[in-house]
Amino acid sequence: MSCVEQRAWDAEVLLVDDGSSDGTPQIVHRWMERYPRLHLVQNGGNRGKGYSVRNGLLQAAGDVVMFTDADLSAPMEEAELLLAALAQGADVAIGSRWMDKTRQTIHQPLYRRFFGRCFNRLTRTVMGLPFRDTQCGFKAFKRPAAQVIFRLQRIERWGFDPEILFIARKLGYHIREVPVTWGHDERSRMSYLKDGMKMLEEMATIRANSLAGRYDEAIAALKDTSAMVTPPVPPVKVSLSSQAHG
Amino acid sequence: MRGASEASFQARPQWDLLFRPTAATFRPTAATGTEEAMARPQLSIVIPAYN
Repeated sequence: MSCVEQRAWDAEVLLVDDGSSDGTPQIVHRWMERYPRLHLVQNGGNRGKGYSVRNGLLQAAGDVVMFTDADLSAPMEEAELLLAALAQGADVAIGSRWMDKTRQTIHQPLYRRFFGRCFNRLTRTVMGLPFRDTQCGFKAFKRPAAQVIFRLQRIERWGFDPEILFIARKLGYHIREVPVTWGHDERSRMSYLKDGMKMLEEMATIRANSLAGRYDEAIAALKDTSAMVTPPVPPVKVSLSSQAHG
Repeated sequence: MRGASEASFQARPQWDLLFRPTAATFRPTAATGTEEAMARPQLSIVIPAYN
């Protein structure tokens, strides 16, 4: 919140509580008295990171919506790099820890780097994603893109990152990967073995869903709703004056 | 003069360009123009506190 205030961003912050038992909602409620643009979104139980991000982004009101990990491994100021990529025409801007390794302020332990690179290589091969870092928890979206992509998201836990990128590419959105400053947080709760296996399972699920045409069906259904008023390909340019009179 | 104006346009912060001139194109048609849409923040930051 201090970064938002210092930089005078016209921004709201939504903290999504995933059924925590450590008093997070009470703490956030106290902060909300001081920061009126801080909001608490509650999942009503433990649903996972993917569900939490989806729940927050679909309730967000901004022209641009982004998510960042709670440990702020990427400093909030780095959001300006993502916003610049969106300003240059991207619909989705994703932070990358691997495009410029010199920007890593605190390096991950060797075993984490090894598993991370293996997973990323596998993701690129299995999912056909050309990005160097699909898992970075620092991504921004133009509002219409987010409203469509996250409505189509099915994976609720760690594997949601490759899924949303897979969906975004399927829809033809312009995705830009942006090198960001990153400091590894030792408090990371991710188990590379247990969660890595789960992520592999989720990648297989995404491919299976795609082969079964489930994303295509969902996209067709979404086109019939007001949620997809701005088709991603080609982008519709609407002027403010025509909106006001329309 | 045209060159100077183009230069100053280019020199503006890029995320200023993102929000102000084209903000209406980012909003779902149904909500644009309403008081609710006008009150929208430019940026929403979602922080998942997951277990």
